[in-house]
Amino acid sequence: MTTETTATTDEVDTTSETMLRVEGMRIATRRRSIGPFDLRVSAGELVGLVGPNGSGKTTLLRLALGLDPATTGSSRVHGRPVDPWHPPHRVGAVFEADGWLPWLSGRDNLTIFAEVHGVDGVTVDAQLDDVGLTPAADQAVRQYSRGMRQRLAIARAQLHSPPLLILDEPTVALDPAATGWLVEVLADHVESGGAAVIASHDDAFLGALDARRVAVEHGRCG
Amino acid sequence: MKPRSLVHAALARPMTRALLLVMAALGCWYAWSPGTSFGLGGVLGGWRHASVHLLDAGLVPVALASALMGSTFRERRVDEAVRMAGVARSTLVSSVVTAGAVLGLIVLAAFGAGCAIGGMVRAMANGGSWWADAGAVGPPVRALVVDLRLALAIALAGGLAALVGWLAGRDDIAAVIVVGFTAPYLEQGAALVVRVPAVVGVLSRSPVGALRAVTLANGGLAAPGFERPASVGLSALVLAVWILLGVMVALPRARSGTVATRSRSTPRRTSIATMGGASVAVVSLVVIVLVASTMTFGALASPAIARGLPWRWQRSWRDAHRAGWASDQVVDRALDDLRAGGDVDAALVNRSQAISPEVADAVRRASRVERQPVSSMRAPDLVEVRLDFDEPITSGVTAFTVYGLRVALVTGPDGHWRVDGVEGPVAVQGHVRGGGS
Amino acid sequence: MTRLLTRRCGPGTVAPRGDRSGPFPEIWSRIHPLERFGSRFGSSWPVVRRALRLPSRRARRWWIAAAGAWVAGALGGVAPAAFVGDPSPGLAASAVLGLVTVAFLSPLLVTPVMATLIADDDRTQLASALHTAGVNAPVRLVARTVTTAEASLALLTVGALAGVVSGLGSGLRSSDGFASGLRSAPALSGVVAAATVLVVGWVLAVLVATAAVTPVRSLLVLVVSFLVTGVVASFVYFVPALRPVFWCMPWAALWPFDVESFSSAQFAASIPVVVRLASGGAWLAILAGLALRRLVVDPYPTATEPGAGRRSSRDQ
Repeated sequence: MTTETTATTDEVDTTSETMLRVEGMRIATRRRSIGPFDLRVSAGELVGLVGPNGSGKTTLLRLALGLDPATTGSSRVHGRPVDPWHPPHRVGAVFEADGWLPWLSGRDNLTIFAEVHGVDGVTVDAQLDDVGLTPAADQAVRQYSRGMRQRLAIARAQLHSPPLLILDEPTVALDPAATGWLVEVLADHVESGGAAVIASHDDAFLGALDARRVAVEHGRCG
Repeated sequence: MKPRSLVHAALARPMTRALLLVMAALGCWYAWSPGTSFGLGGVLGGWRHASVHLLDAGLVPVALASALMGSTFRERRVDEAVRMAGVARSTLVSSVVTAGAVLGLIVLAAFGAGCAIGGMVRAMANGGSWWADAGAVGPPVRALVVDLRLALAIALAGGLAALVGWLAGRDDIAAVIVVGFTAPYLEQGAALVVRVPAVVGVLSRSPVGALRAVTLANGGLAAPGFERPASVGLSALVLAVWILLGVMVALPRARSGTVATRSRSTPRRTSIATMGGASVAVVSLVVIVLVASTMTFGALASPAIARGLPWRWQRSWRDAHRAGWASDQVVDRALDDLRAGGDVDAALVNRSQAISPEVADAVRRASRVERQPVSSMRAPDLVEVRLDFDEPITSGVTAFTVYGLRVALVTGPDGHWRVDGVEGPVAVQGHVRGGGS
Repeated sequence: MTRLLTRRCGPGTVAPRGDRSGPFPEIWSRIHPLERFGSRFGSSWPVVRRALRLPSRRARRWWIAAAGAWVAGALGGVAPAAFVGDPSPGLAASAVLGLVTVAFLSPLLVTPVMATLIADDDRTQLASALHTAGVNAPVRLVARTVTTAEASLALLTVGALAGVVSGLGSGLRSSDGFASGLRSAPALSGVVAAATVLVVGWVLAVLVATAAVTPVRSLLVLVVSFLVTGVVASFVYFVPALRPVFWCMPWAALWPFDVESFSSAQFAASIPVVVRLASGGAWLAILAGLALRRLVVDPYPTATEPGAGRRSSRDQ
């Protein structure tokens, strides 16, 4: 049986630059349809996606970044349409899944993305230092703990100084010190004109960020 | 964790189902293939034909299915979760091996089902017996004993493959290892590697080679010369050693209680520059051994291989061909001389009476003369020639249109081939005048 | 760098937003000036190719292929003397022979490694990470293919080296005398054919990896296709009517065992060049179609079994 949901969003109408705009995005399969999702994130804004497990937070983020093809709707990042064939630019993302080549070191893995973004090795080292991974920079990623991989993912997301950060459960496996550090980084990022969308179950973390909360339930934004 | 749970999990995997399908298709194919003579009786494994293939082509899917079951268990870290529940590693390993054996038997059943279906289709299409053609089946007890032996072999192969998968710890690595181990035992693979004696020696003593040798009581390879009956004592011993080695490698890791292959305490060495003196020495030693063994192979093995080559690839034949004095070339020149109406050049014959006047006359009178191609010659010293006559040669009531010659040749001290004698002409094709051929 | 060090992720607490103070906003602006946003986009394939060169080279599975290449090169280096009765090859010829042998065997040595490396990008989710960095799937696939193909060229060097070493051993004991030149070297047409097989192996790797999604499925596709082709080929000897079926097999286009050059009649087959081209082209087209379909349907799969991610979201 197919269950359809409708768009119920009340976005803040902002006059500032819109960094992410998701309009009516929906994935429909034979048995179920997820969405439609609507979301608008402007510069200087921190949005926290909250909702129970399986509510569609990750699906929304994947749709927004064009990682999954949407049945209907569209996503625009910095005003440019995004889909699986047109990836976003000027975005840093952290997802639950790793995205590392386990046989390479943390530094080598970051270097791949440094090349893609046109960032030099000094920045890579600075980011590794930033996330406290300098001592482990030359170890293979397969030897990293979950928390270390999460730190590395955060370093990768910041590597090219993107104005928009998309973070899916960024505090998973992070120790309290690292979580506090991440709060500071995100707050600074927003204050300097950037924006971030964070899907998280960590209420204290979102509270510390003073993020605008968007509830995602039963495959729709509320 | 019970082996049954592991088998259920493996059977739910699409890849295992695909392998079962491949196995059923293989069984169907073999049951339908030439030389088979059973119908529904193929359900017992097709003991006269298909069962042998179960231990060559069939080994690959069996080993893959079981190995992937063993490796997935560790790749997804299910083993760690089970360990957390207080299950000993030795229990886990034995469960995996048992489940691998059971999975092997399930794959075997798929092959049997495929054989039955293929055999039935063959029987319906060709009009053979729905069960098995006469003479194709021995006494039922003997057939069941054969089946039992095959089932044990497959269970053992499945168990071994599951152990290999467990040790590999990753699906793709496990797949590469088991395919690497089993592919040379395909008829196709064996036909190629049998030319290299050193490789054959290794293959017949590998786990799969020993398993095949014990099960089939032969040389272990699906190649001519290795399918003769042979004693299985040594192979059984080799197989036992392999099993013991596998278990020994698997179990000490269990006693250590650490997470296998995932030590986080020591950074992995990433380049030779970071290696210590001992590592450099080991690498140097490996390189020296590699170079020395390769040079030795080039010096010793290559002449040995050359001596065992079929005649068409022998050096003497190549030299004779290059000089224009190979047997086919000599026969061509002799035929040309005769067709031109003259005598055969004396240099082409080994003795004066090598070509009789009857032969010379037949060659001259034939409408077309065709020498058999080199690729169909059984030996370099015998060349067959076909003589076609547009006007049939009559003998009594029969008219013959095709005659055959068999030219025997010998080599001289200079390596040149010369005609030593010609048999024929012998009538090959004809018809009764006024009737059929 | 000194300033950066002050931002290190060290001990700390989750402080309310209003309580935070210090130089961080200023430093953050200096490190990440907004003017730099969008200054460099890395979506062009030469850039991605540079980025992926290192991971394509560093995979340890190349060592397995290198071992195979060494054995193949060693056999190839003495092949004229050992297998076809020609004089022992010269050293330069041995190198060429080793190289050509590895190239001819690239569907066995290179394609599986390349396919698993390319498919690993989905398994490790590197593909998704690159997408969010502005690299779409076609660009990544092209760059990944080119870099792994470049890395596979090292196997040719390994084969050439092994050929030289075994050729040296053969030459020193040969009754033909030692030669350093191109004696018994393969013909130019053989080299061209080997290069063609190598390129086809590269193309097959990316198509199989894209269509099959996971490394292990890619390997299975290759293995099953080898098996099926070999089995059908072996039956053509008994049932000549199966010849057209054999021509339709996946590897018929590259079937190496010609009647004139292979002694085992059961596996020797003469396949016209036109048939080879048609069969190979058809299979490449089918694979390309499957790969394209997978890219459209499930461009960045999150599960190791293709479609599993979609199934799970469907079943939610």
